[in-house]
This record gives sequence, structure tokens and C-alpha cells, in this order.
Amino acid sequence: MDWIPDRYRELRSRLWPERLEEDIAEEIEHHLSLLTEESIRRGLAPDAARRAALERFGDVERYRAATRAIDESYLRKRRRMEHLDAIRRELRHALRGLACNPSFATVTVLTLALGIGAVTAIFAVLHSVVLSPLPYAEADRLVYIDSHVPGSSLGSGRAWGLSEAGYFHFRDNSRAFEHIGVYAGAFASNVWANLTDDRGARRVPGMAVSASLFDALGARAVVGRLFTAEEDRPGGPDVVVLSHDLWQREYGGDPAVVGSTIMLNLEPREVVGVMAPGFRLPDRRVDVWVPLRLNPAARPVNAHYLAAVGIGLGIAGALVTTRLLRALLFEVSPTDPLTLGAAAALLLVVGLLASLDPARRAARVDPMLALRAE
Amino acid sequence: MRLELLQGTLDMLVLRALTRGPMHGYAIARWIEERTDDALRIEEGSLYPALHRMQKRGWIVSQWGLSENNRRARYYTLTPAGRKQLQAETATWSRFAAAVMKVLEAEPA
Repeated sequence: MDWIPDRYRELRSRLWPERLEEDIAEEIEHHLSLLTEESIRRGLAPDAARRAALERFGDVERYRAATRAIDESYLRKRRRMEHLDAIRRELRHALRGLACNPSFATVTVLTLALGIGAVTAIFAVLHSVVLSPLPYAEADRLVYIDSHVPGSSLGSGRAWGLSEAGYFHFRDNSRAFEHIGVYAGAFASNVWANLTDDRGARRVPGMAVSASLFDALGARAVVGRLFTAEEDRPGGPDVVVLSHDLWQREYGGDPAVVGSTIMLNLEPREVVGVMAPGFRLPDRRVDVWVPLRLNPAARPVNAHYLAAVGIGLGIAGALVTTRLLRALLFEVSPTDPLTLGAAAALLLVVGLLASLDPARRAARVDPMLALRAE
Repeated sequence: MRLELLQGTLDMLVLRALTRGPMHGYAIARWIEERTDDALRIEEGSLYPALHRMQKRGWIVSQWGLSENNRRARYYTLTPAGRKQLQAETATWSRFAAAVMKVLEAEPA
């Protein structure tokens, strides 16, 4: 085995890790045999000499294992360095190639950027509008109701929410909507409520809603009940519905919480129920639901802070409007021109890139040579 | 007498041994023993993890060769990096030893 050169031994160690083990064993055995011979020269019998050698060497197995571990990690390190070197070389080569042809590089980068950007944007819209629909029953029949306020100082034609009187007017007089629900919108002062109990105080997101909102959005209680239209009047009882998430988090899913009283913004409220899991408003999470208690006798004033949600039923006018809205927001299907357009754009980008390089090369061929090949 | 060595010190002694030329593990152990007049007797197996670790760090390289008695043995050689390492560690050790001596030689009260 003496004729095996060192390089081959290295290659062998790499390919067959057991050889690594053998080499270490051979190295250690060499040391031990020399120690043994020394002891024999001093007059010990071969067995005793071997034992003396082992004693002087120490724990052979332990040192062998430690050495092997070191060699293995060294091997891994060398492999890693080689990979990195190869990558670095390829990268340098590629960059040099691009640097020699700046126009080609620019076109490629721009095409890729535009293509990837366009496809990403299209997908983002599709994802939010089509692929993750609103988590409500009959979501395609839901609409927001805003009141159009022409000439308002907050930007002309800007839409505001409904006023209290506006809500009742719509509810009582419009035949277009099956249910109308309202919640105190973005300008309400207390979106965050302080929940206090014997374990301390914390802030939770809350919303004041009309009982009809639960009907409009198809909300259900998983424990207890939701508050009713009778409770949703000025002077009605102080009740609250907890979200499922809050119920699990703070009360450990204990059904006994229904009927108990919690302090919300330092006001006691009776818990009448727990909302089904996953129920939320379209634009926010809510942990405590309290009745909005709108006053039917309110005069129409300019506090347009209610957002209304309704289900379209179908008189011609409402039907046309809702159809239009549906078409704009929801009628995006796989066979829709928009989706087809996106796919076509992607194919175009890929095709352009693929043909760019051959085109470049073809342009460089001497016309005389090309003709001669005929 | 058998003194316990810290791992870093063993590395330094091995590097110094190899300045005399390529050696295998047994030869290194004998040289250290001889230099210290038998005062330092290391547990000889501990040389091998140390040698392989120093090889991984690039201070020494190894090569298979034929030893005195016609057996195959792995010979270790010092690299330039190893030489630099030896210089650095020797300097540190000298400063350390000098500082300790200063403390020990302080005038008793």
C-alpha cells in the first residue's frame, strides 16, 4: 500500500469515509507499536509491553473518536469551501459576460423587472379579491353603503358613512336591502376598550354594532346568544358579546363566562354570548361586541360616521348597482380576459427573453457565411 | 514527573517540535520528553486530536511516508501560517510567564 500517493488517499477518504477511519487507526497503531517495541527493548514481555504502551497512550477509543470527528468536520469544511469557490467563479464569469454587453444586460434586467413586477401586481389583486373572499355567508351579495356628500370640504364628492337618521331612513324605506347593519366606523372615539377584571386591565379592540349587523353578515354565537334588536335601543341593557379568540385567550374557553359580568371602560356589562370563531369585520378584528343603540328619533345631523352594510335583494335600481359592483369586484374567473391577459403577458416575457440570446447571436453572423452554408 | 498540560500549550509545543523538520506523532512525543528531561510527559494519545485540529486550522500539513522501521506513518510539516502562529503564541507565553514571575518574586511583607 506504500505506492498509493497522497492525492489518491485524499480522494479515497472523500469517497469512502470508512477509509478515514482506517487511516486514523493505522496512524494510532503505528504509535502504539513503537511504544511497545520500546518497552520490549527495556526487557518487558510482549504482552506486558503492549499493556504498558496502551497505558502510556491513554484512552485509545476516545482519542480515535475525537480525531475522527475532527477529520469529518474538516472534510465538510473543505467541501463547503469548494462549493463556494465554484459559485464565486461562476458568478464572476457571468458578471464579466454581462459587463461586456451592457445593452443586452440592461434589456434583460428591465424585461425581467417589468415582467415579474406586472405578474406580482396582478396576482396580488387576484389574491385579495378572488382567492381570499370575505368570510361571510353570501359574501357576493354584500355591499357597503356610503352617503355621497358633494362639495364637502373633505374633498369633493367624497363618500361619508351614514348618519343615525340616515340608517333608519334606509332601513324603513328602502326595499332594496334584506338586512342593513351598522357599526361605529373609523371616527368613533373608542375602538380600544379597557377590559378590567380580577386579573388586571388590558386593552382590547371593540366595536359598537347594531343587532341587524349580525343578521346582515350571518354571524352566529357558539356559546350563549348574540344581542337582539330589543336590546339594541337607547336605554337597553349593558350587554357584550365576546370574540372566540378573546374567549379562548382570556377565559380558557370556559362556558361559564356567559352570564358573568365584565368591566368595559369601567362600566359593567353582562356577557350574553361568544361569537363563532373567525368572525370579524371586513377591515378589522374585534374582541368585544357591544350594542350600538342608535336612537330612531335622532335628527339628521352631519355626524356621518356610521358604515352601513346591506344585502342586495333586487329592485331594478339596486340590482343594477349591485351587479355593477359585483362585476367590478368579483367576476374574475379563470376564463376572464384579465386572467388570460396576465398569462399571456408572462408567456410574452419568457418568450422575449428566450429569443433574445439567439437573436443576438444571429445578428453577429456574417451574412456571407450564412449564405454560403446554403 | 507528569504535569498536566493545557490544550493551547500542547499545540505550541507540537509546533515548536515541528520546526526541526517533519515528524510523526511518536517522534513528537519523544522529542518533547527529551527536551524537558522527562519533566513533561503528556498522555500521548492526546497528540492525535491536537495534530488533526491543527491540520484543520492550516498550521500543519500531513503526508504518509515510511518511518525508521519500514512502517507506514503520517508525517506532519509546519506551514508558514503555523510558523506565524508559533511566534505569536511564544510571545504571549513569555509575557505571561514573566508577569507570573514578577508576582512570585515580590518582596514578602
